[in-house]
Amino acid sequence: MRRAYQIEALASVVYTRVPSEPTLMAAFKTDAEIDAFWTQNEEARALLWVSPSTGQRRPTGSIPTCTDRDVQETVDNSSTPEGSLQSDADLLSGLLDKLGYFPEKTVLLPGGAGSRHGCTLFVNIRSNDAGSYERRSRTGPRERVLPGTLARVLQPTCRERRDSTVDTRRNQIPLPSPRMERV
Amino acid sequence: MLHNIHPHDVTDGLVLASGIRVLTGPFIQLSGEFERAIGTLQASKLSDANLTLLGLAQSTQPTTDDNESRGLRHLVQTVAFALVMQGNPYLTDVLQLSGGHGGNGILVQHLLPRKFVWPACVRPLVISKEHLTAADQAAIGLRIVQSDDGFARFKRGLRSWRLATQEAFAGTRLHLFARSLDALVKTRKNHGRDDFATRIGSLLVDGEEHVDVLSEISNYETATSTFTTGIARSAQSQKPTGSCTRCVVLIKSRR
Repeated sequence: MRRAYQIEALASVVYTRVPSEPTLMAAFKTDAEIDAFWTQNEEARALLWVSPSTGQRRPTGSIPTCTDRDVQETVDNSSTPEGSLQSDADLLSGLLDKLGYFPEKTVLLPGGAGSRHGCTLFVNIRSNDAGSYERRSRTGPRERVLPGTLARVLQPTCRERRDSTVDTRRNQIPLPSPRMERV
Repeated sequence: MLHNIHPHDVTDGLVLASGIRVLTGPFIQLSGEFERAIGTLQASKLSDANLTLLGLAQSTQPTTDDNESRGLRHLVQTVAFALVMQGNPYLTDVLQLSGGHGGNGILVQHLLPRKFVWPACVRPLVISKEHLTAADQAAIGLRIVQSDDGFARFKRGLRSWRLATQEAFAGTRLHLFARSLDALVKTRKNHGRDDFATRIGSLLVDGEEHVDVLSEISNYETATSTFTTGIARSAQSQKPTGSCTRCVVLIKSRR
């Protein structure tokens, strides 16, 4: 079920992004151009995928409708001290309220100006209890992928949580192996 | 007409670049005649609409369902689909009201019948002016794609996406959404899973972190394709003897 939600979000991002940008539309017109798009190196592809005019991804095309302004407003409205677990929980709760999302949902946030590809980001937010979210990332500094103020607020607690919490995959529902064979 | 959303920062009567007007509510009070024609249930849904996308055009033959009216319907439909693509996974109803007095009468259709089972704690989603503008921009591109002779793979993928949104079963939804992406990824032969995971992952920040998830999704998609194709081939291989033939397929996990 979770994978169905994830692939829905991804497919919707792609099918919104491509027709919104003439350069990308041209890249997906014929089979030869699609091949050319995928055979170029990753950096060139990423540059084409982000807005060619500004070099940054426009947040209006992101999923699920979370813009930098939404993040900023939510952070500004947070009255609890930054860095605490409760602050993060409130922050995420506010974000989820804005997004209309239910707890434990993979969310795509717009990449900030400092993000590596400037596109979208998978964030696995679990808000079953206070501060029990975990971003499924193993490498890279946080501020490179989380936009603006959200990164600064989440950063310390993310690090604390990563040291102390268990792998969130253990808490996920075990899915059957997709490899099947007919007997 | 869209339901179960909260328009935020959307002015009533906003005109998008494509000429579509956005209204924060139902645009018409249905009279008794219309209500009887379309049914009480549909009428109540229309009166409860949170957001209305209104396409208007002048016509010399307003009572005829001609190419102009079909084009107008298509324009509004495309914007509605693009709005859904903006990340409205819990949009419960998108109704289309077209026609009017005249030969073709009034017609109400479920543009996006979403029968998928949503979690109980779903809250209405906020839609702002930015989302509407982005949807309108995407819709302009989508209309260019659909009117062009090229874009064969994109059109195929878009069909899969639309079918997926109308599907109720989670496995089939996953399969169709994955196929819609597969159409654009254009995987190489015998490299389907790897190409799907790495190429889609390359469009994401920290894409390499999600290659496992994308591989798993690709596995599900492949398993669904192989399973249904296998049953179809098995059924076709049975000779029509006039008696009922039962086909049993056993699945064994490799774990």
